[in-house]
Amino acid sequence: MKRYILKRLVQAFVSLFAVTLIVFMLTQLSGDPALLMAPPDATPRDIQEMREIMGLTKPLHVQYGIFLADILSGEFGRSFKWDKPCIAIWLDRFPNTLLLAGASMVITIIIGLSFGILSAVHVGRWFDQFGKIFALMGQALPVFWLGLMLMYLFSVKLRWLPTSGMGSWEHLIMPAITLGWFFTASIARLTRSSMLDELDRDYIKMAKIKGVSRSGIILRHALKNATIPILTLGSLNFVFMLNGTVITETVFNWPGVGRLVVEAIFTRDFPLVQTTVLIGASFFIFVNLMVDVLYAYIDPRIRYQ
Amino acid sequence: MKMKPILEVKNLRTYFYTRRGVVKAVDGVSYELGEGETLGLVGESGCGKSISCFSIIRLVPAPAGVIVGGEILFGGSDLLLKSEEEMDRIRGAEISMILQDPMTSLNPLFTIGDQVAEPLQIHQKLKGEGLREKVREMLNLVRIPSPEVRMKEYPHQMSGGMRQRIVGGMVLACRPKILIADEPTTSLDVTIQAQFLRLLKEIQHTSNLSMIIVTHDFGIVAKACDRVAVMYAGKIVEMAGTVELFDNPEHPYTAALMKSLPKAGMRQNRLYAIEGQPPDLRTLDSGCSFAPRCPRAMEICRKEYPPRVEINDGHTLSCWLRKGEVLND
Amino acid sequence: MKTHFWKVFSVAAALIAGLTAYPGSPVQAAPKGEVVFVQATGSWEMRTAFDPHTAIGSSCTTLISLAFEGLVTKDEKGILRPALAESWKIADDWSRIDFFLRKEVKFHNGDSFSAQDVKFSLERAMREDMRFVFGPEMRRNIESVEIVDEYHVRLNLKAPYPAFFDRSFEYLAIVPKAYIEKVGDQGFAAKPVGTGPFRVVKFEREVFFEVEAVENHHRQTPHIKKLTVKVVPEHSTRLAMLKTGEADLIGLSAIHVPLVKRDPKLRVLWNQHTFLPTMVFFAVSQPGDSPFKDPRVRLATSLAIDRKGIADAVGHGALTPWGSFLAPHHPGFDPEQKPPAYDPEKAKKLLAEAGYANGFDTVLTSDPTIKEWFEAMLQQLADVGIRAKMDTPEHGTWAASFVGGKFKGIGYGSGPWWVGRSHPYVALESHIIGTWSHNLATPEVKKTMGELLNATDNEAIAKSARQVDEILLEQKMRLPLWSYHTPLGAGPRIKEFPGAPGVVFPIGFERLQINE
Repeated sequence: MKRYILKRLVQAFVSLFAVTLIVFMLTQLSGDPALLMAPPDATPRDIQEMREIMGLTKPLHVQYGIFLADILSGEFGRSFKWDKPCIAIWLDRFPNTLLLAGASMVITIIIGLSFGILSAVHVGRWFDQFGKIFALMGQALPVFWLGLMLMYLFSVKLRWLPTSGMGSWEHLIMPAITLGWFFTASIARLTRSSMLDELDRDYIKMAKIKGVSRSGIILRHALKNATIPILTLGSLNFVFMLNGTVITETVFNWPGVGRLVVEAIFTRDFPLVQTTVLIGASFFIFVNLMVDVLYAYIDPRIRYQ
Repeated sequence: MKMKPILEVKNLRTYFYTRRGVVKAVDGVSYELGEGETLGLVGESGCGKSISCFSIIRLVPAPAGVIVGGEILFGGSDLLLKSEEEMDRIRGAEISMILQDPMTSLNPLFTIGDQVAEPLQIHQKLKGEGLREKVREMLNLVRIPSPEVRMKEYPHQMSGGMRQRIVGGMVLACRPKILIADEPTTSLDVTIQAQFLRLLKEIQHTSNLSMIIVTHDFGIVAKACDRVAVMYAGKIVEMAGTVELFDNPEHPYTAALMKSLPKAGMRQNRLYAIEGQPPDLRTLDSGCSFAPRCPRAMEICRKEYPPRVEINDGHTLSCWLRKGEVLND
Repeated sequence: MKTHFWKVFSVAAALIAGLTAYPGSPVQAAPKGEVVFVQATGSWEMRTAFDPHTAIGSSCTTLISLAFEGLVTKDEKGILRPALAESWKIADDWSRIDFFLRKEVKFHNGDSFSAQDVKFSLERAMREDMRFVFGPEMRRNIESVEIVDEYHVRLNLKAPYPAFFDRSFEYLAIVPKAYIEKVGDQGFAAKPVGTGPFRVVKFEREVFFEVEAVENHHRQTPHIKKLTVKVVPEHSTRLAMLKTGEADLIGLSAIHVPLVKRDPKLRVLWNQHTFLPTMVFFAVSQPGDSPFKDPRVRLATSLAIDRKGIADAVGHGALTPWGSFLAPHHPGFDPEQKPPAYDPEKAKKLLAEAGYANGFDTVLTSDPTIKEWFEAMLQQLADVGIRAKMDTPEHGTWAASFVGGKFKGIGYGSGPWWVGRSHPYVALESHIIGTWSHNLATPEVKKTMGELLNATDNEAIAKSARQVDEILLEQKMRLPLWSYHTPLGAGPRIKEFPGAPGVVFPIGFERLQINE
């Protein structure tokens, strides 16, 4: 098991290194931050001076080296716009995104899991049909549209919830639902098929033969086995959420990392773009690693290999 | 003189409603099971023997499968009229079942000990040391060595034979009155098959357990069953004591089955196979379902289904070839 | 299982019922005397918040104008007015500007204002380490800042510097010398102190900026008690906030103007003449042949565009067809100016004369934010034979390509940019001879711009400005299309907000009045 983890760790670092290279190249190709930041009255000389201050006139490999050094120093460079270490800016915003993603994940799992289980248990009947429509809507309706519709209904028309921003738990509901909408549907579908697979198995029949009640079968026996694929999807979902809050954060003006990325990209704030993308990628890599380890923990068959 | 039977199945009918028609998997099955008795159910795949057993404990796959009619009398009441909660109490405690494939009968994520303990927890509400004691006892009963160690292990660490024995221990933990075994040895090595059967018989003797063994293997019937019911296309076509059936297989289907058994010690060029295919259970014509394949079919066979008649003490038959006392079911 | 389902269902139903019964307080309008203004973006374009001298972009005007003042300001007609300077005099040869300062002014912390603070502030802005966006420009043009006496400051110049006045009212905040020397740059940025009509209460960068009114302000005491400026990039969200009352005033996206007009509780306020979209003929300055090198073709293009029709169809009230490179508040503006007529027949004739009776193919580029206006032109151009294919790269890419001279054919040009630039030289410079000019200026234009730069009295300025305008209109290497007005959405609590024309990022909140 230790060797297994070690091997995966090494793979993770290699992936990360490749990501830094790709991120660096892409941001360099994306445009000219000095031109976008400068007011229209700035002369070409002034703009060139800005570029020098930003370090953009140095040769590419030197810039890349500086980039790597910045990462290793923990600062991740200084934002062009904020003139602060990027990591500080990111750390300031990240808890907000974490809160949003966390709340969203809770809603997703509760609703998605319940829908999936109920659909599986009532397979073929009206709840299952309803569940299928729900899943379809979840995966087809655009997040942007959903967010605005929720805002229109619950804020503008009903006045139950605030439109946007961060504050009380009321501010959290709509963004959390909007963010989790898509994932709820996919978790529901996966839970349903996973459960149906499980409920078909012989050892589930055996449990019934032993006299285990319906809820015991579902919640104790079937669900435990079914959670393995759900766990994978759930973890990936969570990382997707952490990285993919852009639209939700923009619509609901949530001060998180997603909005930060987009703003950074629009203003070509290179260090900030690189930081956010790199951290996002490392989330993926790290969570994948964690899931593999968790697998081995839950499924003794893997553990004893 | 007949003792009061512990289980009476009367005219059981279980149908499957599929998109392409109604499959009459069990179409009027009746029999009795006495205390301490072992009944064998034989027939080809698809004849309904397994489904009739699942119907007894009401675990027919829903929503397609529905028990549409009949009575199953056990302990003074009709099992088909009981609620789910009541059936939960009966399953495992009064009536239990072993499935065919030991490799898939145990949950890979739970320990052996947990799985054997479960029925004891549910039906006898045992806990703690008392529970563990009972689990050890059961594992010993089914001849699992070092039960203390094994209790903490997982199914994938055991062989097929061991797993099937563990399943046996698991389903018998609460000392049910009836054990249904659905092809219990089919997936086992030949060498272990006999072993397992012997084990079941021993347990049966010590606890007066009644058994229904579903099998397609006449060898098992000969070794382990007191009585046999032969099923075809959802119905029992012939039923008799084991010895009687082997001596006098009256129904053409039974006779054909016996004929197709490979005979030990005799060289055969070809095994006898019954011509034709088992019928499509969705489109049964009126008349005897075996008629299309029966070498001795008559005109009436194709028109009307033969009634069940008793031709000997305990030997019943549904065939136009033999006349006897008609039984009203 | 059925009972189980109903158990779950009833619990869920109870939860939902409970939630809906909850009165919910969060959707509240601001209390009496307080106003919430929600902007799209950009107010925080400064490296250190909140330090005006670290401004790096062009849009911090709103926030700076609340808490700080420069030497001059703009009134609701867009005319420069005294702020901390009561009057000023520009030397005839542009060697210096004398500013005569207002007396009896106090900073928000009680310190008295004097020439010391002016010198300190200007020199601070010129410090290289502040990296003030106009720092290099100031260093290029200003020789020194001299204190003549307690209320008289002299700016010694190296070159004519009309832009100084524009920078003055937008960015060059006057800050308290003693305070900053005491608390340092970081301390000042954390707790900013100025002489503006509002004082800073609290702020969170990119999220909100809260100020309260200064009583008995030397220039104008605000009518409202408190103002909170919030930043919300998504325009639909801003509109929702306006509708629920969470915002009293918002930066409105032009496409939402009809929605606001339909709502009887809301109205649209216009910041007039904030910028001038133009049509640029890129080909003229590029080597090789192009139909657009013929002035008849360029005139034809102008005649082929139905400026009024497009304004009515997709302008939503934000566009006024325009025929000058100046705005009404610029000296030299000709009030009789008229946009060119829409005359496709004449356009076709001109094209035929130039040898393009069968038309020709070309490319039309546009920035994605305003592409609707240009998409509307495609058919009109095609009708006279100019078959254009449209290309709308992402904004950052568009900017780089535009400045880098990569576009061919015709396309949107973003200027002249009038944001607050009151002097016509400053207003025209960047897009006529500077960074965004696309090298279209002829020697004649450059010469006249030079004269405009050197003019020191209003008459001379007006005359040169008009001359430049006329030359540009005649040469047609760029065409003025429409003057754009920036919409603001106002809720029922807003009585009046004159703002200031020409300023995209609103100022003048001390003149805001509410219904209470």
